[in-house]
Amino acid sequence: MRISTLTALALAAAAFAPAVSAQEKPSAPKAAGKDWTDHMGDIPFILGRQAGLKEAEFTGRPIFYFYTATW
Amino acid sequence: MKLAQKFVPVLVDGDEDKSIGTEYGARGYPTTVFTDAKGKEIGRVGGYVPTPDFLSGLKNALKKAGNAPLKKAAKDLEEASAALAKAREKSDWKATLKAAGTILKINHEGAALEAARKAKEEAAAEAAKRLEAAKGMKAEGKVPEARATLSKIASEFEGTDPASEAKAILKELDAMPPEGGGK
Repeated sequence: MRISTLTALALAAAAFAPAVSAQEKPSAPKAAGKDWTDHMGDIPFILGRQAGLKEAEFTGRPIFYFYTATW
Repeated sequence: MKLAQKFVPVLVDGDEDKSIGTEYGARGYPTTVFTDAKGKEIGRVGGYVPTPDFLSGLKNALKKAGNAPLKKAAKDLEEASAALAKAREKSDWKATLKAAGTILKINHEGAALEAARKAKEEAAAEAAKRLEAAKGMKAEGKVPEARATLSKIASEFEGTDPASEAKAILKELDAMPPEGGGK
């Protein structure tokens, strides 16, 4: 059975983030009037490449880009 | 361990920013690209894939990324954020202000910084409220009660304006002659 990447992302979040609590669940970023709630699942995404790069520089962590569009 | 402790998850709007497409050759939506902290690609998952394939791509990228420890400032921020959440849960204002102070000093834009700013504002509001109450007690001649409240404000909310004011009022009270001691 083939499932969407978004579903896979949710499963990945469950697999790697069993401790993600409601408190940590991010509010959906609404840049340029877009609501990304459906794209984010339970993953605390940072919206935008520049903000992500800054965070990676700060933490030293690798980056997981989810490249998509609201079509 | 949480996903956010392994990767920085970044959502890129392909309508607004084509850089992932041009730099990493991502041709369709959605595409997941894993890079190290410097931007070197360490894996990708393109389009719609079965869940096991996606998880496998994720795990391979994690292996390639290695297990680099968090940078010190990020670790300090994580610890202070946890301390702040715990302090707020217990309504421990002293610990709240300490953790918020650490986060504000690190000054890294994000949810933790917002939470610290909010916590500091709420602590200052609580201290101001208690200070007003203490002033009321003093005005009514309830000096021992006022003194106890002021001492608590000075200790619990150290570093805030109401705490400084509480200390000043305590000094005033200390300078006053004891009740029944004057002629």
